[in-house]
Amino acid sequence: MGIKTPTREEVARIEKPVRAKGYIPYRQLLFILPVFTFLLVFFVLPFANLFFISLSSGKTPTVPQDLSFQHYVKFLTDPFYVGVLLKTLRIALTTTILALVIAYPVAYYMVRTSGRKRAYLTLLILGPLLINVVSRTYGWLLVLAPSGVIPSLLKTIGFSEPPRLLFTETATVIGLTHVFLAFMVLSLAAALENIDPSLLLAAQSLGASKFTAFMRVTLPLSLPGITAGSVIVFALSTSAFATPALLGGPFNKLMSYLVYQQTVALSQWTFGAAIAFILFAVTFLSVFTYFKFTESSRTGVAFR
Amino acid sequence: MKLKQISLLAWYNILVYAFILLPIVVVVMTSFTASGVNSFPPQGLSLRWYQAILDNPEFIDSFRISVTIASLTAVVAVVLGVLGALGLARHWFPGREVLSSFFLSPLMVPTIVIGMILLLFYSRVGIPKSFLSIAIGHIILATPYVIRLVYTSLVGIDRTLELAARNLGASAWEAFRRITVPLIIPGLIAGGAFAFIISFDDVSVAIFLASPKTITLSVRIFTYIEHSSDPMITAVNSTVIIMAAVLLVFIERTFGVGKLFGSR
Repeated sequence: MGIKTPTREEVARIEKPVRAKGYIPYRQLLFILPVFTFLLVFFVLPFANLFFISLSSGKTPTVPQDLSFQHYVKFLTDPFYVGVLLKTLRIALTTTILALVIAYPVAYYMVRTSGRKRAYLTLLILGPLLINVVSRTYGWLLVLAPSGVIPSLLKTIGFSEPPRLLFTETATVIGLTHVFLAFMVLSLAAALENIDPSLLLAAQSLGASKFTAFMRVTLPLSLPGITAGSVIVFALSTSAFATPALLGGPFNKLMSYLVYQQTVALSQWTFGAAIAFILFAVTFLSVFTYFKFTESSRTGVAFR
Repeated sequence: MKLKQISLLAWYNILVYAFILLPIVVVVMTSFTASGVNSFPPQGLSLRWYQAILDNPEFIDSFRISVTIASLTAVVAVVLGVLGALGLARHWFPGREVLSSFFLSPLMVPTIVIGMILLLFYSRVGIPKSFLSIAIGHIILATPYVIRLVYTSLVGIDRTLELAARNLGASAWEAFRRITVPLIIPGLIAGGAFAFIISFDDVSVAIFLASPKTITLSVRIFTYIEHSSDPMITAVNSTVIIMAAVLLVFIERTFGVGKLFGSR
């Protein structure tokens, strides 16, 4: 089609923005005004509002009242709520690790194909992302239900009483892994693709076995992809709403559902606001540490 | 290709792809069951459950609502995003990095938090729930992606092309209009498609901002599934899947799904 989408390195190289001394492109700045104002009004302002409302001591004020941290204290001192937070993090971590392990050989294989085959594989991996997450999760509802595919399969193998799969943490992890696998594969594939194949050849010519070459050349060099993918999947898993709500059942409600429940179902807006802020803080922390971590290296920043 | 020639790695990949397709295939196949309960493999084949959807017109209403909101989102996100990308792409200015991080910041916020902040903001300011209020949330979600897509498109353009046009006598505006614009159109369309999908598939924002008249399809399906599961909703989900498949083919034909998600 004419456009070759550049790699991150190429972007860093090509797009050194034109930097004329003391020249401020006023006309160009005009262009960013719409987005800027839009985000300011509908993102920044509401966000600040959230924070102040979470510091309100009333239950359902629309205007923040006397400031107090009581909601945060209530959340952090109640073992139930802390339990929900920990469960959310635990599930997110499990999902991330599982996604990483499953995705690595997939990305590895994909990178070594090309042309039509590569296109089809990409289609298979990315296609499901276009499907509504609710519908994808519903598929797992059908598959994991007692009458579903997997229990039936287990029955034929010999389990007379197949273990209950639906409405468990396991179901949530499976569902989340399925939903976010593509992101991990993409991230790993991008990193693996940038590895100079002659490095592997060099290692092997120096006497390394295929396994050693992989462990000591490929794996370490793919680390940026591993961390990037892991952060993405972890952040997405922590904030996921539909999948854990549907697959976890009534006893596995996570942070995201807690926010919804407190706010919409129980009208505890101020408490809900605090929970939302805690959820944001947790997610933001992981992404932020990643960005700070990789800022020193040249890879991983979209605009430079 | 003989079975024995398929390496271990290839077998593993086959298994993983099967895992990826499993829930999707199950939904679609189960939707054709003639029996009264979800059964896989389907017991008998029939379209009765697709016809049953017609007996539940609220799903068709929600579909219309979702499409309307998604179209609105796509248009606005593309306009904002293209302008934003153009504003960032060419010349450096003080604060450029901070600004670009700011534009991408919604990506770092959980979607339900975005739904939440808008809910609180709207009630404080007095904005009623409507298509537009939901669309605004979706625009916030989608615009960063559009900016990124169009920006990547922009940096891929050989800058000397515009310079050559200027050299041949074109004005700055003409050069932009006749050289740059046609070259970013693929990124623009990709951005629009992506924004549409983000909006259509969203649950977290739409569920916070839902009101009886503005229940999007995803929200309706979600609340239905929360307490019941029957072949009719399976047919609804199957329809969603089939529509996504059609969209997939269309996107792949026009500019490639890989580009949509940033890979080459």
